Amino acid sequence: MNTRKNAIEIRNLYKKFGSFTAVNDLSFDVSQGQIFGFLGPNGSGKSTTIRMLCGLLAPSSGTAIVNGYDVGRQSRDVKRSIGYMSQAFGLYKDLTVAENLSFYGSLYGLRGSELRRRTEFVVEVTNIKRFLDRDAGKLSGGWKQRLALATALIHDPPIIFLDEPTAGIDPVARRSLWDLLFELSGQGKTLFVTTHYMDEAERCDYIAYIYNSRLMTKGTPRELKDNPLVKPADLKRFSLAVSQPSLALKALKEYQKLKDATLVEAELHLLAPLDVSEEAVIQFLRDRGFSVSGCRSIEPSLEDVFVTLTKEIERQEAGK
Amino acid sequence: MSGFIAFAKKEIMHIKRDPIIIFFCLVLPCIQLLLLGFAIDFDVRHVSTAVVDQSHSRESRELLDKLHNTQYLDITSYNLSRHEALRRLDKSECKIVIVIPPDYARTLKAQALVDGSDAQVSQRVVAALRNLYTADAAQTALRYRQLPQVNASILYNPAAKTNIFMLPGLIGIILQIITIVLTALSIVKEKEQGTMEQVTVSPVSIMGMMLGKIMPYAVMALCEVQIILYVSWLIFDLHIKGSWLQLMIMTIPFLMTTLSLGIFISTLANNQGQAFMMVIMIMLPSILLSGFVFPTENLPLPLQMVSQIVPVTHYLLILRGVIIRGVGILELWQPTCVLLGMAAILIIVATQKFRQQVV
Repeated sequence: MNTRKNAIEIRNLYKKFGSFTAVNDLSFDVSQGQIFGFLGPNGSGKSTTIRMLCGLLAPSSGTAIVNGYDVGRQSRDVKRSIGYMSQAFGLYKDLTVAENLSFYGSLYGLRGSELRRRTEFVVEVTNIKRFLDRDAGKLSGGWKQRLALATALIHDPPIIFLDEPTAGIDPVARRSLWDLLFELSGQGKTLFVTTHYMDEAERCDYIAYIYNSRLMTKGTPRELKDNPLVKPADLKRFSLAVSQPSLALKALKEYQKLKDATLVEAELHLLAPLDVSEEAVIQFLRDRGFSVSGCRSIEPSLEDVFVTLTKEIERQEAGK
Repeated sequence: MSGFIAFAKKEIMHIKRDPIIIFFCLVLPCIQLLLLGFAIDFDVRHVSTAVVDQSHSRESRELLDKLHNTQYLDITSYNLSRHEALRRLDKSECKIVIVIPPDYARTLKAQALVDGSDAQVSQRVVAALRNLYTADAAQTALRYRQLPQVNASILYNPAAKTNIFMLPGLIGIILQIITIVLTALSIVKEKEQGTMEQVTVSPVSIMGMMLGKIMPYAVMALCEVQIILYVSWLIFDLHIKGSWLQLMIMTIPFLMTTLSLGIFISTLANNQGQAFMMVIMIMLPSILLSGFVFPTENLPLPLQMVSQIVPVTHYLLILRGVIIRGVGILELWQPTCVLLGMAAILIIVATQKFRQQVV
């Protein structure tokens, strides 16, 4: 039993543009206060889905309920319930930080003391006070994103959509933006995040991955990694610390029994049947002049999950 | 209408911060005005002229010398019959016919028939003929006991009997440039910057947003008219013969057409470069076919029809009517109604397109 209220409920959602189906039978829930990772390659229908959830685009069929409002019929109420932060910096470069905040605040009908109170609050949360009088165009990438988040929060929406919020910003700014997202989630805000960074996907409470307009998989990062397709009972994953790992990776192409081999952090990550022993692989490499300094068994990463599932779908479709 | 005030305020902030917009709106029209006002002077030289001399007297030869010396006229044929001279005028082989009657030596009154279809030319010629003896009036009067006179009559386009014909038209052209360019660019800029996307996820109404964005430019355009009128008065001594208030009221439907054209362009263009190209495409027929430079009556029929769908064509009738002829809404209800109709259609089409692209 799920005792928490759902912030977003999507049932059999379709969007068709002519003969092209951009979103194909999507169903999932996002519960309140969750950081929800919405992943998938470019062109898979992510943006179209977000546009529908923001009340910008009416679904062709199916329903999407955002904060209790139907996106097709109550788009005005949906828009009031959400904040939106896009990858493209959607702010006026020739206006100052304070002017941007008050402009966006006024679009939501905030004025006077209420606008002041909300502005103070978002300035406090995003810590952007010292840049209030600076032109938005003159902020660094990380601060631009903080300002974008501040404007998304100005009307105190329960749900915030973040479309690749960390694209193109430096690691420190990325970390501190995520700290901020955790804080907001802790306050009960629902965050709907898209990203291409797997380490960010790991930070989400729940993930939906779409591929070719369809939902490919959904679950917590833990559940995804335990997917039997990703973690088959007859296969094991282990990593080897090797000298000259990229040459070693190439050499392993000849080792037919391996299901998958890749390089992560200068270590070889291998997927092999249970009857292939680690020692045999190590010996294979040593015979070819590589020195192996360590071996440990590992969990699949989210990247492994998505790669494996995508390959599986492509294999099925090729078989049809 | 939510968002109207927010957008209007923001747009004013953009304008205040962009020196190029201010230059574009305040300085550029004045430069155009001066260029155009003075260019008229430079253009008119050596207008081909036919002479019908029925007097063949010393006086008539002196008059022809005098005319030749102004350099305005190029006498291309002498001693034509009146009939033949008029035929050449008809066929545009010459622009002016000077008729010196048989009794000229006694009356000192000659006649000039001026082709009025080229308004700038005819005005300059008329002015030149009027002032033919101004410089040496005393001397001439002493010799002849009275000043010889060449009375000009303008054929084909008698309305051109004004000192300055182009300036009112320039108001229409400048207004159109300013309003179309500024609205189109300001909306396209929001698309380019991604702010359009950010705005459309807010519950602001599309009407409120659109009106809020164009209202500052509409107000600016009306101020623009005052500046042009003032400079025209200051430098070229142009007075509004009719009612200023009526002119302003009849300007509003024209502004509605140009602002909606601006919005319409912004829905088609993806970036400022494209928007500019489209503005140029609209500006060319507006300048060439509206009667601003060439009278519409002289256009070939298909182009005359095109000129009727150009809003400036109708606005020019209003401008020239009120400023030069001093007439009012009673005489100008027709172009006003045409503009209102165009405005209604364009507003509907533009908002429709705008709504489609936003949603």
